[in-house]
Amino acid sequence: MAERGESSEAVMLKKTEEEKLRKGKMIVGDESKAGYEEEGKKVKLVTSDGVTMEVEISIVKEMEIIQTFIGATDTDDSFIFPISNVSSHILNQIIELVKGEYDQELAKKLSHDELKEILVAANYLNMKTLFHFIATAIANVIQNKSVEFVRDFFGIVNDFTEEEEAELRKTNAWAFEGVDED
Amino acid sequence: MDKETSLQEFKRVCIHKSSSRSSLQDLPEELIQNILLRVSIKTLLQLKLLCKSWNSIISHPQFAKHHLLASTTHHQFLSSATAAADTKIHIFSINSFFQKPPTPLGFCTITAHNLILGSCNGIVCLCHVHQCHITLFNPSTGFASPPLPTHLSPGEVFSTFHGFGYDHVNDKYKVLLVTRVFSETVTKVYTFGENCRIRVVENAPLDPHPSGFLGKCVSGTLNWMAPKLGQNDSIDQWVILSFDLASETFSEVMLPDRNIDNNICKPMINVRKKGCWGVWVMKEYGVQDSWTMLMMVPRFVTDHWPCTRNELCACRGCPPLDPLCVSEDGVALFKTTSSKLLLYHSKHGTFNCFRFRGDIWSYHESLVSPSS
Repeated sequence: MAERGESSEAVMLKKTEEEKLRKGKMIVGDESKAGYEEEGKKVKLVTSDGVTMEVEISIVKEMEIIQTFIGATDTDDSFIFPISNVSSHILNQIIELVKGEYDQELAKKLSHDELKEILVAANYLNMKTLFHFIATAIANVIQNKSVEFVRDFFGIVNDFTEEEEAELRKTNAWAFEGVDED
Repeated sequence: MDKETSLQEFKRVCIHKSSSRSSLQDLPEELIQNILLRVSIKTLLQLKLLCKSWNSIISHPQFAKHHLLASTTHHQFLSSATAAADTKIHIFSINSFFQKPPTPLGFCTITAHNLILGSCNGIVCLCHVHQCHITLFNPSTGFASPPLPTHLSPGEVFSTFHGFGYDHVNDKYKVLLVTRVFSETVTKVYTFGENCRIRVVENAPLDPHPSGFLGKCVSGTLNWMAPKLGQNDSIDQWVILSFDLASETFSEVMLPDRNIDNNICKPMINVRKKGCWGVWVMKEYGVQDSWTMLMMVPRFVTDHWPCTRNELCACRGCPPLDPLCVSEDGVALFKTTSSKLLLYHSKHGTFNCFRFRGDIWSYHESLVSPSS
């Protein structure tokens, strides 16, 4: 009898535990639903060319300049962030790169101007992963290329005199063997 | 804060952020530097010719330090060969060693009669065999420091052990030379840089094993394998003799297991056990618990090339493998006491080997200037 009594008590306990668990599950369920809503949330950004774009919160989360601002002020969903240094074209490229989980193959499809503009935008928006990714992509493009190619890539004008250039070439003589074809 | 104020505030933050940039044709220097940190030394030396501002970025000592820290480890090696008139320093990668014949990635020519004493952060320490002065030289940039006289005779310089390394506490490159004349031992530290100096320091409590006179530089210390002798001059125990380049004092570092009789150099060592050579790494310098076994190399790999009688005498009690590097994917390069290079693929248990005359030093190419 005593044993049975104990076991029925145990059953009772089990039931309340289950109930608690079910309640717990319900709470968890509600939370995940709220989380899902957060996931689908979009933030409005207006680009330098005046286009208003709705960007997924998961991507905006990488933009530290906006995150810091949201954290410090009570902006609501209707707030439109002016991204005055980034065009809609570049913002679309950034979204593609983030969604594509930073695949170097994607970077190979970008033009030289796009690479540079994305680097500037990543720095401006304070997107650390994107910045590292795109700086590495640019480094890969200029690796082992001729000075003329790199000048052209960055649009830089040679400001050395002929004598200065000859002198520098002499001191770094062995660096000039085996340059890749541009 | 109302919406209008928030907007003004956000614009203010954004304008502040973008003020450093005028146009796309003119990327800010900070961004250019970030790209250049990811470019190889060879390309950087070419890009000095781009324009004056790029030349000054690439030539700056601070940039050289950042580049050294940022560059991922491509294992490279140096070897020197002396011809009649001059000495050539060859630079190899692991793959270029195993081409037939071994084909260096590049080379540079230095004055004859210079021997390599060590290599650290892309700088090679050279010692002139007749004049006995020491010079620091960067084979990638061609930059050489003024020679520092040792005031020693050639026989003294190479009489016992030495080492070359970087003292990160004081940001100085230092050379340690231990000399022994008529059983009198003198230990001197040569410090390079603006205020170069020579200092006599306290002698080491132990002598390193003759098979490894060159100290390995790890975390601002130089390290040698040293036997502790018991009765009848038999080897009782092996320890690592360590020299702290900042405090300029010696100490001892324990090996993974005191009872194991055979070990070699820091940071990686070999231990003979159950028919295998174990390769260990001390992940955090000076922390005994951080010794971690990286791989086991089967004994048959080394038994395959038995030492000659003379070589056996020279390496009495010392294991036949000196690890040069271990890559992340479990490939290790060793130099054997019988002048061979051994490449062991731990994942497949396979190996390649070939005979290689002369000494080999690990090398990490850099823009660092020895005297800055």
